[in-house]
Amino acid sequence: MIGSAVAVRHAIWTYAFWYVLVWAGVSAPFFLVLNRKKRWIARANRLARQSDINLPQRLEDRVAKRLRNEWFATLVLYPLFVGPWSFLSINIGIQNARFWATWFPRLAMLLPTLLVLYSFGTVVIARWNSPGPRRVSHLRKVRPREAFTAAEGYTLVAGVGANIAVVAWGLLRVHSPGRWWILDLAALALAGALWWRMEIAILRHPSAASDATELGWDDVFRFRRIRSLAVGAAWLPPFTVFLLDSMIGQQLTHFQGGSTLPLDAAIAVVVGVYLIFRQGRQQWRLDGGS
Amino acid sequence: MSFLSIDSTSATPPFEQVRSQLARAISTGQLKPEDQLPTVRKLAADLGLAANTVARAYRELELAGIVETRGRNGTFVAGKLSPQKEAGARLAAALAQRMRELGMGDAEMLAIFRNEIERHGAPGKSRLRTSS
Repeated sequence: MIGSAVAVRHAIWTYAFWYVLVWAGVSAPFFLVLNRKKRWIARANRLARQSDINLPQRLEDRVAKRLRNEWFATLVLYPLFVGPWSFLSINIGIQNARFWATWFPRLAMLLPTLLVLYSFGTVVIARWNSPGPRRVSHLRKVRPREAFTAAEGYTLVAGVGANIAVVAWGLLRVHSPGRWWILDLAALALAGALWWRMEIAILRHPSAASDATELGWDDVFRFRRIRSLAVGAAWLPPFTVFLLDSMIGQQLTHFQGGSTLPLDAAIAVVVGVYLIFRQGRQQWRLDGGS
Repeated sequence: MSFLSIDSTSATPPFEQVRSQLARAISTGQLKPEDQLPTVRKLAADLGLAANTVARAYRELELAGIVETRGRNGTFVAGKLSPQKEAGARLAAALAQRMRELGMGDAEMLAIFRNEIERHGAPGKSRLRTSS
């Protein structure tokens, strides 16, 4: 037992070393090629078209910088979250079903909260720098639900349902004791509460805009953050748990033929969620105005 | 959605800018009954004002019966005015119209109103403050 723990710890450090090395090696050229000002300005203009908002030349740089910051946060945070899961999926195959039965309830407990934090971390909070003597704000309070269309709202509720279903399915498969059911469901509720607090924090963040266009852009970014956080919190945990559990389940049962059905199903869900969430890009236009 | 703007170089005090724009938005129907106003802290942060300045604008709107504060739930646009406040509003509108005809500006009219209210108000009952 002790020998196994030492072997696992050694494997973790070796894996972490190579993982960081490979990630840095792969992402460095991408960073150099993609991190060009011209590219981010083009992206800012594309976002303006998609969101149906005017992008005057004086704001181009600032919008491009905010987009770049978001991308950079993803680049830094993504490997931190993907690394452990890929380690588990590679290494649990050489362990046994008992090992997975021990780990699954713990993962299911931590994952929703970690992914909510990850989704929050990727949405970098930034403000306009030079508001001048004039400042503008909304006449009324903006609520989180205004960032979503009705279809998107249902999709988020479905994500919560998928979360519960996937965790329950995994717990059933590994015959987890009752206390893990309680802990995992409590962790889901905690992640939900954390998500809500973060949505409110994003909405409460001051805008410091000096005219209607800046306020509009502030709303575009604010709504993007709220929407990304909601989709990430609702769909990333079930997606990750489902894929991990399916892959490891196949490895542990030595399933020959490697069915791609779970992967296909997960990709279909991701595409579906993406298509639904394309509809609400202009939700920032509160009451249909600017 | 329309917005509220503050000009820090304007001669009109910031609380009055907030109050008058909200009052106008309510009277023109841009803000409807039951619409919730931004929290004092959020609006103050957005506009670069002190929280007390926004709180004062809200308080004056509340005194006029235009908005109502519902404890911790926030401040909402009020529904219908009470008959007493409705009559008061009609009188004030007629008076303002007459004073405009005399060539007075908004700030001047407000100063006269404030002065007269304070001069004739019952001692200790005045709820208006003259400093901004």
